[in-house]
Amino acid sequence: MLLKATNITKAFHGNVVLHGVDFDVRPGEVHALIGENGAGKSTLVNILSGNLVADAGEVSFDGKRVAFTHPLDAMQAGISVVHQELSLVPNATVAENIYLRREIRTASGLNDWSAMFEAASGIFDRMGVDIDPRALVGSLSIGMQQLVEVAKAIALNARLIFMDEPTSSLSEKEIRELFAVVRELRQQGMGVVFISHKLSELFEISDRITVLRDGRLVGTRDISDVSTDDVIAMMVGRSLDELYPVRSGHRGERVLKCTGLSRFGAVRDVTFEVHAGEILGVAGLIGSGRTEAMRALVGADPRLSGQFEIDGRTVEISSPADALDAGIVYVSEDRKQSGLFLSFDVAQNVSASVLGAEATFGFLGKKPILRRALDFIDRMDIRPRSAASRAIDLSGGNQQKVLLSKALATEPRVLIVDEPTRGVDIGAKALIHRRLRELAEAGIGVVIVSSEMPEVLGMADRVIVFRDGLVTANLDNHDGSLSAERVLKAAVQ
Amino acid sequence: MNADASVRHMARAPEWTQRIGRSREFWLLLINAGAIILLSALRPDTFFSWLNFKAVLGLMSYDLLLALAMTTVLIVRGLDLSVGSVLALTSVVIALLLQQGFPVFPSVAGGFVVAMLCGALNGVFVAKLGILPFLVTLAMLSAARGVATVLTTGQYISFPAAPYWFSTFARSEIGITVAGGYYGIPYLLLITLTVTVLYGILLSRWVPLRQLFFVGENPEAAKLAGLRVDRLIISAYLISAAFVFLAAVLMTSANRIGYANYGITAELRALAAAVIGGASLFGGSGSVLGTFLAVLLLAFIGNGFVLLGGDPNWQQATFGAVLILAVALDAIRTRRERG
Repeated sequence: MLLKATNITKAFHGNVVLHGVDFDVRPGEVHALIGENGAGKSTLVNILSGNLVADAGEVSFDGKRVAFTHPLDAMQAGISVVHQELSLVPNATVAENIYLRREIRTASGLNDWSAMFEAASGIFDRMGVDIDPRALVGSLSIGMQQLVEVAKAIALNARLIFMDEPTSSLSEKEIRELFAVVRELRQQGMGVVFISHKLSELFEISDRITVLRDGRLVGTRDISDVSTDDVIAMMVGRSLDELYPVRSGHRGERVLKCTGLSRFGAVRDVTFEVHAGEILGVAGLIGSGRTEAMRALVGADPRLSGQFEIDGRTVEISSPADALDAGIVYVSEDRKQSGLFLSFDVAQNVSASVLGAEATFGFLGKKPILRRALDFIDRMDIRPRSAASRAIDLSGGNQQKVLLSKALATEPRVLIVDEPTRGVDIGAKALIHRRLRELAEAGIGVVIVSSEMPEVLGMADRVIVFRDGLVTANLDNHDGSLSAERVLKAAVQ
Repeated sequence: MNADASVRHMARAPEWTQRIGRSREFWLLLINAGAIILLSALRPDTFFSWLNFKAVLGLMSYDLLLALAMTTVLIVRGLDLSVGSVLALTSVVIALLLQQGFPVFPSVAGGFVVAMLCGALNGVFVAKLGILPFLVTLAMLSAARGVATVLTTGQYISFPAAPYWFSTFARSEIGITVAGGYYGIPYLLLITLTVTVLYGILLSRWVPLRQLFFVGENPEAAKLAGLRVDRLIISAYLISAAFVFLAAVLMTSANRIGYANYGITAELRALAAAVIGGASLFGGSGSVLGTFLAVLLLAFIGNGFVLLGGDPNWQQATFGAVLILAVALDAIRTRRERG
């Protein structure tokens, strides 16, 4: 065993978040760690990587008993974490980032650049990737940056790497590259713990899978012994009938018509329609112009051209406020940066767009705001069930539900949701999908922009595909028969 | 759960004691009370008299108005370093117009136009051109003071021919008799406190002003939520300028002169008070009550130095200590909460 942790227990303020969890990693294995948000994955990783100290339990690494009290202890022992939020310095070179604070020096004490560039190249060779150590990190794609993080861990002689949601912001191609690297590391006898919500990826890359639920170990299995349904059942404690609700197949009147939408350098002459009762899926690689088009549509960013009709009426949109007046609401893909008001409570977040709705002479009524919040807490099953909890304290899934509630509070005609379930646990994901389907059935035009192919295929009745700022395909999927190949083909060639 | 029942449930706020403990205003109130008790004990004769209170509160008035100006721009993640010099410029303009023989109303209106112009310039440069508020208002600080000095060549501008009521109203008092004792309340104080209370109510309840908090907390999210972010930011700078204008009118009336050196370093006191009162340089927070209590606390500290015969130069150092203490406590608390 490379790592063996037994009976790990941890409580915060008397609230037990890990109940005697056992976890081990063999050398040369990719071990998937999965569980809904709040299941205790992050706490476990934090303990094993020295960020937190367990209340009880034993950890041994390489056969030796260890007790890390600081991430540096763990790093020195050979355990590194590649975090979801990258910790690189964008204005420094790749090599500088890899050797930050451990610079290779010449005899005179100056940085030995050529040695560092060479060593970094050596690491990239080992990983089987082609990255220029002299490039500025900021000029690399997110996927490449992720690989630099991995290289950093390797430079530290890590023998166990934790990867926390490494694929959540990567394109399909970048995921392939990352997986190739992970396989290469496995080949060399390293242990990799892979944390992700995307089951299909876990099945593809990992050897064993450990499921946590409510801070307890549900079980560790060989990946070849379980199916997706088994894992979902282990995660939620019951089997989830449907991650994607059934379609009604009903296509109503046209709600939104977007004609000739162009945006400088990003989007060219995009035309599409959204009908009542249907969900329009917007697919394409990251950077293909999907998000850029939607943001230009609602006036969040400037555009060159574009006409819009809602229910047959032409509408003028030059700002998100105009879009809202016209009945179009856009939900951002990044709930922390551009979605939520993190230090405000749930009630304020939900009512942010409609503060004036129930005001008398412009004065806020506290009660209507509270009532609206409780209404959405019920409808979207937001936990904890308190309008006074701050958004920052909620889990990812619940934050996403609050974000959607904020948009729905405006009672839109068209709802455009960008990455509706990014970094969200399975339970929340199923609920969000159900609600989106219900909205469509209630006659609201629903547009889902997503990088997750199963989500696009599972939810959309019609799919438009973006490539290089153009819509390259408009595909029917009312019976759910559309294949991933056809969408991908339109997205890449 | 029916909505009414849950509203009541929420209103009970299970952890209300905790929330009071976390409330900035609560602690400021306690510390102010402590300061009053301490000073009363040390100087029972001089401190605890209406005369002294009147002096403390009167001097505090200008700082309070400027601190409210600062609080407003801090809420939208802004900053206004020009409050002190726009105060001077406005005062100089009013005084010059009065000196030229213009009636009170046009003179004061002239000052208002100048103040609003400064506020609008600040707001437009920050909101539309995206220049850092620090730089924009630093430039305004310099420009406004410069213009004021040029207009007056550094001289006091008196206006002996102006109507008597204008030269006296800020200092004149309304007398009230409570329990046999006579208390004179200067208009300066009365106006400032009335404006403060009204603004406090508006800032906590009136929708356009509530939206300022959302803009400061997350401008991008506010934009996507349909708030007119640019317009709201410019409004915040205009509101700031309006408070500065009011302070300028009161100061010009009370001192009976316009002067280009009014309000030097006032922006720093205003900033300190707003931050001690709970506003954050990262936007999204700030309260009128908090700012008021912070200004009051700084005024008591200043008064304490005078009454206890301390070296007034220590006063400034003490302000600094209070400021860093308030900010540090905040940082520690935030760390513990996130911890």
